Amino acid sequence: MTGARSVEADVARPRRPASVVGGSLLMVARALSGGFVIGAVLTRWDEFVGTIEINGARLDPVDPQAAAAILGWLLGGYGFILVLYLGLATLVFTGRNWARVVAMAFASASILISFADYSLNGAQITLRTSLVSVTLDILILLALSSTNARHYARAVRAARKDRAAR
Amino acid sequence: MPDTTAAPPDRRRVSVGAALDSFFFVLAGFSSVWLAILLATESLGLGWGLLWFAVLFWALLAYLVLPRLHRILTRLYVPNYFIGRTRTSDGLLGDPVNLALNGSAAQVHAALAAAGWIRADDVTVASSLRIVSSTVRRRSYLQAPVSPLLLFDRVQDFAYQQEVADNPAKRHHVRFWRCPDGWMLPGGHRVDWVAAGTFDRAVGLSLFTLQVTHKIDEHTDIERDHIVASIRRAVPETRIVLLRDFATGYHSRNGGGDNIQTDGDLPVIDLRAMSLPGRPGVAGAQVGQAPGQPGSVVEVTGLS
Repeated sequence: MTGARSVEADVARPRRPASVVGGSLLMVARALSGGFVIGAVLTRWDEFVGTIEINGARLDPVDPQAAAAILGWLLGGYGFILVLYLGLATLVFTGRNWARVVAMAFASASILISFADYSLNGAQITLRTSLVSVTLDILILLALSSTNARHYARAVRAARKDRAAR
Repeated sequence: MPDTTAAPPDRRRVSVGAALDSFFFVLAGFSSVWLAILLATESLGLGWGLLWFAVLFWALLAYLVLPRLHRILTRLYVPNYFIGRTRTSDGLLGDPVNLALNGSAAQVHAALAAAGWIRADDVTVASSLRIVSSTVRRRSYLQAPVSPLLLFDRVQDFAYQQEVADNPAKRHHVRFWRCPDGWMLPGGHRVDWVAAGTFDRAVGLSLFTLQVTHKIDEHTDIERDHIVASIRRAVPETRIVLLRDFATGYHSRNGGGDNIQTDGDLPVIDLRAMSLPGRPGVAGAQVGQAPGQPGSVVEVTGLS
C-alpha cells in the first residue's frame, strides 16, 4: 500500500473480513436449503396437498382446491421470506450494521426454538431432521457476531457518515 | 461513571448496540458448544463409514468453538494492559515482547532490510493459500505472512522474517508494534516500538488449541539476541540500551502451548543515529539524555 490515493480508498471502504463474506454465503446457503424444500414440495405436490389438515381433519377429500390453495399460499409466503432473507444477506455483505443485527436475531431465535424443542421435548436433531439448518444458523451467528464482523460494520457506517459529511 | 445519566442519545444507541453484540457473541459461544455435542452424537450413530464427519467435528471445535470460548473467558480473566506478552486473536497469551526500538518507521525498515530481513506479506486469502501450498511442497516462500498477534489492542504494524534452509516451516520472525503516543515501558523508559521475536521451528498441531500452527523454539532469548546482533552488524550507528531484568526470568507457555523461557532482559535498539539517504541521523549528543555513543552498548541494571 503506497501513495496517498490507496490510503484514502482504504478509509472510504474498509476491507471486508472473511467472517462477513462467510456469514453472507452461509445466509445464501440457508436460503437455498429453503428453496430445496420448496422444490421438494413442488415435485410431490399431490402427496403434500393430502397432508393439509384443518381442526385435525384432512381437508383434501372434502375440498381439494382449497387444500391446494392453502399449500400454495404457505409455499408462496415461505418463498417470499426466503427472498427477503437473500436481500438481508446482500445488505450484511455490504456492511449494514442493522442487517447484521437482524440476521443475528433471526439466527438466535431459530437456534433458541430448536434448543427448547431439543431439551424440553426431546426432539431429535439429526441429518434427517433439522441438523443442517441448525448448523447453518449457528455458523451464521458465530460469523456475524465475531469481532471482525462487528468492526467492519462499524467502520462502514463511519465511512458512510464521513462521506455524507463531505 | 458520573455522566451516564446525561449521555447524549447517539452514545446511548451505541451502548445498546454494544450490549446486543455482547449478547450475540456469548450466545454464539454457547450455541457452538451445543452444535459440537449435536455433531458428536450424530457421528456416533454414523459408524466408521463417515470418518469425514470426525474431520468436520475437529475443524468446528478447533477453529470455531474453542476460539469463541477462549475469547469470552480471556476477556473476563486476562488483563488488557501491558504485561510484556502479546495476545493471540483468541485472547490467549502469545509470544513474549522481547525487544524495543527507538527510531522512525523509515529507519526501522531500512535497518531490517540492511540486516537481511524480509518483510512479511499481510494475511490475505491468497497469501494464506500460498503458505499452505509452499509448506506442503517444501517450496521456499520468503515473504510468507505471519499470524496476527495483538498488543495495545491491535494487530502488529508489520513483521519481518528470515527463512531457514528454504523451508517455510522454519523461520526467524519478529513482529513490530508502534507504541501509543506518550506511552512508556514499565519503569518509565520511553520507546517508539516494541517487538516480539521468536523462531518457528516446525509446523504442527497445537494441543492447546487443536489448530495447525507454527511451533516456536523454546529459547526465545537466542532469537532476540540474533535480531539484535544482525542489526548491529548491518548498522554500525546502532546504540543498544540493555535493560537487565526488565521482566523476571520466567518459564511459561505461549497461546499454542509451546514452551518459552527467557532471562527477562530487554534490549532497546536505538536507530535514531542511523542516516538514511538524504536524511542524516541524529548525533548521539542530540538524542535527549540518552547515554552512550553510536555503536555502544549501555547496560541498565536495577538498584541492587
